Amino acid sequence: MTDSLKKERSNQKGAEQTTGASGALSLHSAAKSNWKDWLGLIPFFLFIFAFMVIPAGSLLVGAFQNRDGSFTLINFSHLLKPNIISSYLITIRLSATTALLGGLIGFLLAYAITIGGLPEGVRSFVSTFSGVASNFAGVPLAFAFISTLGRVGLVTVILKTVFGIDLYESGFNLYSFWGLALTYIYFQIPLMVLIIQPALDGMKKEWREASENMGASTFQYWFHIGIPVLLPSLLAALILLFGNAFGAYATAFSLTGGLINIVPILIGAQIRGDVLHDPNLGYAMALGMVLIMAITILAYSWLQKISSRWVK
Amino acid sequence: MGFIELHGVSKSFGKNTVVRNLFLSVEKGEFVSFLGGSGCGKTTTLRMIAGFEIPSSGKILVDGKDVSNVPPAKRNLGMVFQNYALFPNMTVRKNIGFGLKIAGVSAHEIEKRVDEMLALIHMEEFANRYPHQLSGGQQQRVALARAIAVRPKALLLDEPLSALDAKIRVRLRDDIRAIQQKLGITTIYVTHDQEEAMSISDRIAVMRNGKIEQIGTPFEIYNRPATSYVASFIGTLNLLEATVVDANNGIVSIGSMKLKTASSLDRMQDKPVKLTVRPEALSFANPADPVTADTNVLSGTIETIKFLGSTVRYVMKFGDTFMYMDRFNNPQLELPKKGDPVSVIFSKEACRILPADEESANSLKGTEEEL
Repeated sequence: MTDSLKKERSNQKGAEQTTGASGALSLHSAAKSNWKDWLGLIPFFLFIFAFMVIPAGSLLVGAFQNRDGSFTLINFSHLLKPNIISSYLITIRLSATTALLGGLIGFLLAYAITIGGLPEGVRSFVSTFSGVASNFAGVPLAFAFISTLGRVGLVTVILKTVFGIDLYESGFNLYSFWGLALTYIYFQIPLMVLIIQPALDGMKKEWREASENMGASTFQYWFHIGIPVLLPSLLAALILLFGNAFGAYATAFSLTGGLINIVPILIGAQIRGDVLHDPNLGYAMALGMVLIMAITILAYSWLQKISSRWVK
Repeated sequence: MGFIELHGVSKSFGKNTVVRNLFLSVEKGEFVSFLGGSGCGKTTTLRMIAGFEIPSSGKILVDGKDVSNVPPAKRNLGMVFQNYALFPNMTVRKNIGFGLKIAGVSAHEIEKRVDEMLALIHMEEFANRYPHQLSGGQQQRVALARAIAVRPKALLLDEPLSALDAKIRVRLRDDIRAIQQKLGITTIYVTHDQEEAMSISDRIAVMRNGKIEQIGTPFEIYNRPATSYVASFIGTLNLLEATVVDANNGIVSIGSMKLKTASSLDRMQDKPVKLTVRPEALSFANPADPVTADTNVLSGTIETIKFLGSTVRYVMKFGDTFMYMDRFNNPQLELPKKGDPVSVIFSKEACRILPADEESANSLKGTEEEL
């Protein structure tokens, strides 16, 4: 057995050498690529430059300017005003709440259509629907919710007249934090389904069977294997859902107008300029959003590093 | 009474019956292989023993207890899967110790037992690696160690080597057999590779259409196949359609050729049968050798020669019948050419008669289309 192991190790060494050789070959191929190969990327880089680099640059510069264009830090001191702090807190709370709830429900739905073993037809339907619903946001989504769960919405009226349940009397309000959260969850759930489905598909049935074979219960399987294996994907999905809600503007504005002061609405108000008009403060607030997302992504990277030490 | 027993076990998925009324008894410490082609029911049978499938009917006994409806977690049977199924988020050490941890064994005892297992598979220095940092052969060793670390009542292996390349497969199968013998653990091994099954098993159960065609030692299965399917599934075979012309003296005819057999052909006079003879039982006739009454001699021509490394396979034509003959290769061998006349001899004991109405697996049936 020792001999065979030695042979296997020597084979491994051989395999490494082979990999090295093929690596050298691919480098050689890369070196041979000429300028024509880069042509296809030009539209992409132009797009990025025009709609990301320039706006981000002007936002960065504008955040440090006053209305006359002189350098100032006053915009950042204004960020500490109670209404702006509260706006950030509401936005973070809304994004975290909808990411967690949408993530949880989306995970369960994705689990049902993958590992749960529902018929293939159900899986196809849910996947297709998720693709559409995850992009259904903004004014149409707000209108859909108003016409179903608004004060005179279809569902509200049916519940009241047929079942005697008055949603608004019982404390529900579509134009409140939880109403907005419910609307966000509509697109957060399908987005979670789309993101986590491939990860769930990658869970091998044999892991479950092997753990069962060694005496593990369902809980023990998920605690020791299922969740740890999925954790990097779950974290990535949650951060994406958080970002998705954090930057949403049209849905919230169409649904609540200015009733709930989330940061994107406040920025819109500063830049569009009706009553509040201070574009530079708007830029600073946007920079604040970038900072929060950066911190979130850093925290995510750290967690990802810990949770995925075993990943190739 | 066997250590593992199957009593009339059947399994159906909807209208599709994949295992039919199976009876089997495996002795303690025995190494039994289920051998058969795809869809013969071998893996389903193993999964029923492991508890991942519930039999549609019949009983499974392990160590005298009926475990037919006992969940896999309560059976204490170690299982090794085809694709290793190592937990990717755990190191080799943690993978091997997982079952012990679940069983509530103390951390100190787990360390000790895992070290023993690592020594057994000679992978001490790989203890802190993750599965993706190991080769396929190493991963399967770890899977084997993980399965036996909990000291299961029996070990079940589901085509554990089929994902590995040929050389590692041969080495690892020897390792599996060595570990099995060292621990004396009762083992059931599923494979579609007849050479693998022959080389490591105490007994082989050849399966087909959800049934055991024949169970016996590798020697019995190869030399005394019970059916033409078994005969043709194991090794290479000349399988010829014949007619009994002299039942009393064991003589059959194939076209114009008459062949002597040592089989009992009672009440088979003039009936069609299948005559089987292994290619290695044939040899070129030497004019100096005496031809006895027990020897068959055939004269024909060389059709093709296939070089198989350690052996050379001659395909020869005798009238309308084609036959294989295998000879050991050696550098001095003078190979005849296509069309050269040849005479071959084989003893009547090398001929085995089987019923004519059975399907067979891969074999040379003596017709030109087969070539």
